[in-house]
Amino acid sequence: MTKTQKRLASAFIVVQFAVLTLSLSANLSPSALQGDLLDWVEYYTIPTAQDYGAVPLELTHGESLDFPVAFQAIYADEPGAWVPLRLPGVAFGKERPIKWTNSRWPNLSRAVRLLYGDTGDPEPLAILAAALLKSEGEERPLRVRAVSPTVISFIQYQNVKEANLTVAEAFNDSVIYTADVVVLGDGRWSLVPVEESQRTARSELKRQEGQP
Amino acid sequence: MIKPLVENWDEFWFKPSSGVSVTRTRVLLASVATVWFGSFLAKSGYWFGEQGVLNLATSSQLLGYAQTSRVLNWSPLWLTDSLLAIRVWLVLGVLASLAVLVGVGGRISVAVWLVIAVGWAHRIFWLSSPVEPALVAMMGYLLVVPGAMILRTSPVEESALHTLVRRLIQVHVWMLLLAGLLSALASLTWWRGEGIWWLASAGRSNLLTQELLSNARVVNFLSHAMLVGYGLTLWWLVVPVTRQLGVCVGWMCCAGIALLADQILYAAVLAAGLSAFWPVASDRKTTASEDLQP
Repeated sequence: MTKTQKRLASAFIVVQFAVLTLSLSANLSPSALQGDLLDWVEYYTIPTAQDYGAVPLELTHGESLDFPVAFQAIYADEPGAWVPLRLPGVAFGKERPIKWTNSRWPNLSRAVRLLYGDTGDPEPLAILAAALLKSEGEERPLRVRAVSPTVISFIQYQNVKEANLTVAEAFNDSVIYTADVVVLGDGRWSLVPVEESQRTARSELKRQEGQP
Repeated sequence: MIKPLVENWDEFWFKPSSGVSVTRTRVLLASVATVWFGSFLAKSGYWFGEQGVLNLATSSQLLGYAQTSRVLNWSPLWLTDSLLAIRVWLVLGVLASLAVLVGVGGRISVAVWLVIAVGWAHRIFWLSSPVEPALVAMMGYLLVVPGAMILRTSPVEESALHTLVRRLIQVHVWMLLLAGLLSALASLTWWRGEGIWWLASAGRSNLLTQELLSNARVVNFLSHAMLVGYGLTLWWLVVPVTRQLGVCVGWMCCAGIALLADQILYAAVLAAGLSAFWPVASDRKTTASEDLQP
């Protein structure tokens, strides 16, 4: 390599790893400055698919974010029974916790929950619920909801075991979005959110903070 | 003061070396990419196409809501909702990965491989995990020089480009491991030794369940061991005499990421990248000659 080639390569090395350092350091929660800098370099990181965003490099922080949301629906032929909507690679049996390891659903759920958590606006959950219902086929349910699984600490789990209970018996999952499916005619339908007060995501977050 | 700095910099990044290490890492990364592309094929009908959960309309709505530009997230797959196009793209990705694995086509194959991978990573935006940015960056490094064809018998000439690619991959992997460790330490979950339990508790451990982790000491040991493993890997990789040991411990950490969490492909990318640290004959020759210097 000539000296000029080496200097050009050196400039690339410095830029690439400076951007990588910025992207990784802002992975958990970017400061205002990091956010501004990321906005500047997004014309390089995003087109080259090197944007680390908020992917979980830590594997887990034990947050409700890491617990994938499930969607359930009530159908006319079985009123009162919430039936899980089909998700790829996920078997909804009696097993708790549900095994998500064969599915990419947790990645999607995490991203949507991040959006929802940032704004408190249930719109991303509504978009996802509508997409799931569309993928289900022709049969339209009466109502659909998004359920966030119970998040309990290890100590709470041991207490539940000592009391000879299951986690499902001891704690209720939180409903974070509920909507009625309103048929508009001509095969069209719409989701109309049910009372805002049914959304319990905030109380769930408080409970997590208070864990031992 | 500047001159020795520049000399050391050049020595680190540009000292000519053989292409054995680059070839080995390329083969491993291309193997992971083959599985990565292939893993989408089976469930592609569920996620994509007109009836898919992430069809064009839904993906665009979510991108718009997140205020993310579809121009920056470029992909030819934004132009069609056809499931056939998705499947053809994935098959092309598998074929390109296999071509790069074998070493056919040199930089052209790597460039095609990279374009297919980036196009796919952008289309699946909402399904992304740490795999995509890590894999794509390392694919990009291989554009500089992809190494030799596998099963090539004649020796490859030593080149500064081999060292450059190898160092780029090494530094990138080291930084990913460091970021993983620091991110984990940002939470009490790992300090309290409960990280592994949380993964099982969320149904996101490939190996363990809540029931298997009823003993607090086992949970603590596994969680602490993961972080100690990360720390030892980072330390031993930068010390020449312990580098091989660092690679071995790093691979054990990757096994942990794959089996204790649900990040098999990310673990595989890290493991492939770690292989760039494994010494080659030219390294040993250099060390021996340096030892002989007065």
